[in-house]
Amino acid sequence: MDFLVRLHKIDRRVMYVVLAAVTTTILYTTWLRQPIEVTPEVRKAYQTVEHLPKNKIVLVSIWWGPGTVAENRPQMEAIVRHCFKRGVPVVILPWDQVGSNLAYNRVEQVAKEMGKVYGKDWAAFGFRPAADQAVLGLRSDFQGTFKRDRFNTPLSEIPVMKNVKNWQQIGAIVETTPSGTVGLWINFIGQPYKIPIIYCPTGVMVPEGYNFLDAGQIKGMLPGLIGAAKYEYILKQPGFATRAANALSASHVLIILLIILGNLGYIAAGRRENR
Amino acid sequence: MAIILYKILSARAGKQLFIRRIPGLSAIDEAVGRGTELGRPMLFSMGLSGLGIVAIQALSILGHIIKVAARYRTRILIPVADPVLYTIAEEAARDAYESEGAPEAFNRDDVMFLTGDQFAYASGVVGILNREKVSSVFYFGDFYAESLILAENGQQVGAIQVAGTPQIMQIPFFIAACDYTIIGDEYYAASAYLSREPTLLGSLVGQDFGKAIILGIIIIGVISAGVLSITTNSAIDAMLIRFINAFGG
Amino acid sequence: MIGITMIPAEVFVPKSGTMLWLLVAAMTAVSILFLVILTQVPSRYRKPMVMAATFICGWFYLVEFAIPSPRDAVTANSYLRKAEFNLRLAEHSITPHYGDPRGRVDPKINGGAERIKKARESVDKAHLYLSKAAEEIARIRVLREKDYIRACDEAERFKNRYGLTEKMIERSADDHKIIDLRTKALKKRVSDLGEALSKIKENDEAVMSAAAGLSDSSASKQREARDVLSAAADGVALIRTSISDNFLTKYQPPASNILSVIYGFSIGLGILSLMTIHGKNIAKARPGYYNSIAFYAALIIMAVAAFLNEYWKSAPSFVKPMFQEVLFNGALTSLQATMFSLVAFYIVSAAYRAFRIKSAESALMMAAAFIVMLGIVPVGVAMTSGLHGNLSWLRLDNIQNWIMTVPNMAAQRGMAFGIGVGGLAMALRIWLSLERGSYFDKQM
Repeated sequence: MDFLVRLHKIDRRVMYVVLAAVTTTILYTTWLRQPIEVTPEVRKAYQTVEHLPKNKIVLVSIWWGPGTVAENRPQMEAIVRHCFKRGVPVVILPWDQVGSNLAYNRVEQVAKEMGKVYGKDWAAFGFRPAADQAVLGLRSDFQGTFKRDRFNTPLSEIPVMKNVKNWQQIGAIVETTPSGTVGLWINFIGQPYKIPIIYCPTGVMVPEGYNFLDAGQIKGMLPGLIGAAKYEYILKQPGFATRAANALSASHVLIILLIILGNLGYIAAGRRENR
Repeated sequence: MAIILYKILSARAGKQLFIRRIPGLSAIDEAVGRGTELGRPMLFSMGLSGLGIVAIQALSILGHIIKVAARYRTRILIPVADPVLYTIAEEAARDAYESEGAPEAFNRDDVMFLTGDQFAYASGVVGILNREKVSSVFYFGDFYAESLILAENGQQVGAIQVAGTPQIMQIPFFIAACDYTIIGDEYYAASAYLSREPTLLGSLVGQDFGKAIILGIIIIGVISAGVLSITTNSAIDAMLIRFINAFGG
Repeated sequence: MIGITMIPAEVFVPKSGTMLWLLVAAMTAVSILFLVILTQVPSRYRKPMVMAATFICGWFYLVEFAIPSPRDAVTANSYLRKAEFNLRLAEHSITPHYGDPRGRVDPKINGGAERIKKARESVDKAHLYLSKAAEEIARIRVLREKDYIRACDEAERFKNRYGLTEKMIERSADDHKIIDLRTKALKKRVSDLGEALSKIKENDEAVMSAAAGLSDSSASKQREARDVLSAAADGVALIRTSISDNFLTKYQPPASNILSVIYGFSIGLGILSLMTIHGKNIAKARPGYYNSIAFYAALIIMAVAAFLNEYWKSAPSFVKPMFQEVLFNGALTSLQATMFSLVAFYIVSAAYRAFRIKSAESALMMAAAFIVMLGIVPVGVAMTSGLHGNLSWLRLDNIQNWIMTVPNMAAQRGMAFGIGVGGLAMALRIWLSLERGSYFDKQM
């Protein structure tokens, strides 16, 4: 009984150590093939990319930084791989200083792996503040709003960008973000010009995304790290997300176990007080 | 908008209006009292709010808290993440102390700009919470991923915590870690609740009427969509499509 | 904000050289004048002045939203609106209703023949209205082109009269070397109308191709026809948007840019505050003053490293990697990632502490949390993967999906409506200066 009552007040440091140990162990030592069930929102995202025209660019909007790199980068990578596979040009548009480098480095790696050339098949901009003004501006005058790419090359000298004048040359927007920024794209580009938006939020923002999905304001969603794992599953290219999904499973099971133990301890403590 | 304006005018004309008790806002006085008893400062965080309606509402609540705290000369630390808001928060804090007849209690250094970066701000506030051993913490404003970091640290320091944010996704974290949480549009009701000012009360009642109208439109829309899926009469079809299109459907 | 509509929008295009300095001087003078007026005016007039300025600024956005489309587009807009309505009616007519065989409208049952006939009539009407809209837009375009040619001639005469050189005209940020600001607006209008015309033709062709699918009663052909009609209706709505910009719309970006500039200046104020507070800590050797020394060290090192990285072109080879790899990627990135990863640990302790069965509601919340947490991860899918057929609804991932898409969405929408209305009321109070509180009630 004493043992049960003590479960009610497990030291949080013990919980943190156990969580770190479990997650690290599963992430780095196991590659279990657990079944991945592809949910409708991920499938819709896949279908949207699958039907994109090849003569229009896909804008991949980067709001994330080092904090959420583990969730958002695999999402970005999965969709970029799909676009490269289909031959759809990709443009990286970062709104975070550090995220700009993180995104560029990974896309550069993927592009090298898939034989894609910077300037011809993809392009990237540098960090840009004041997203509201930039999004408003790129609708009607893309070249005037983003004059140069991250290497200071004028857009007119970049083959993939030189014919991009306004919203009509944008095939889709992929919004990878840890906060509620998708409304900016929906209000200014998605709804007025009917450009498809694929929403890639972190796990915390996923419940909000179902509203937009149901209303047809976004065409698909990759819910957190699991969404990236599901997308990798459809693409048949397992990567970091697939491996991390197992670690995520283990951490969820651990949390549930701790909650159950805590409740057992709570009930036992209550009974002891009543006696 | 018309209903809100009408209710404001009728409240100013003297009509008595009722609003229900909101536990989180009633707990503010209790939290300030605790700070006074323990002799430790309190902390008011507006999160990552820039200058906008969320921050202005937070400033209204801050003003009320300062007025209560000023009576007992209890210190309030106000770390701010937006430079524009910092200047206004400093001004609002000074005015609140002056209105309570305690201008000497205002310490300019208690209102501080930390940084605009999300996690740098969080680590700054966590540092203040732990160093100052604050007695009560108030979170009112725009919070994102740092909400749980702040709230959990406040919990560990033993502070009584009251939180309110219009960010729906952060409410579960505040509920788990704070003592009182203000959910949804109770946040915008806070200034009316605390001050009982007729204009604000009238606006609050007008908001509720606005919500009732939206509810009515939703119900009509649901019935219309249902009828549209069943009927084969072309005149009814045309009328319902016009109606649904008018609301952007 | 209304005042800026007296100024051509092109004035807000970025400038360089003498024009830039003249503008800076002018804006500085206006700001100082405004401050002098505010301080010299008796205090009983200051608050009404601020209230009037707030009201006028908000009025700009309300008027821009409410103002109807340009006069020359009214008739075309009306035809386009009717075409859109008929396209949506046609789409609805061939959408399977309750009682239809799955996926198609059958001419033999449930009034299907009548509905297909109605769809064809609506498509024909849409085609008629689109043709009328195209004629009207073509007519307006011809008139605007004549205006444009006339404006170009005036600009040419202006240029000759004042002896303006090509170089002076080049500086006006205009490829076509036309200095008359009105001609640029006319040129854009002609271009917008031309694009609208080609879009109408595209949509019209798509609509006529969809009409062929209406006589085919197969489900796939009807679905294709519905998709085409829906896309055409959306396309027509877009055309209406593109020709409906009013004379205030082009002032919205400059109005927003003003706020960005104010924000830029205010960052300096924030940094000044930080330096003052930490400077005092060090000067008075308050407890924990070493944190203030760390602040200064970090500020100076990062600022110096960033400037050297950007402007020291002949830097030794270790400078760039030191800034980029060590300070930025190494220190800053790692610190940000560390702070965020604390959330994972805090979630564990917060969930452990908060999820206690104290009441029926908390037990329900806990059960929902368990289902969602398990249903979302592969291990939860594996646990109930054996349930098929009639029992498949009991699978954790299906229940999780139902929780997320039904009760969760309903609750979120309700809260979002409340927050939206609350925000509207707050914005209204601030615009009309009805807000109360110590900050708003104080004497100025």
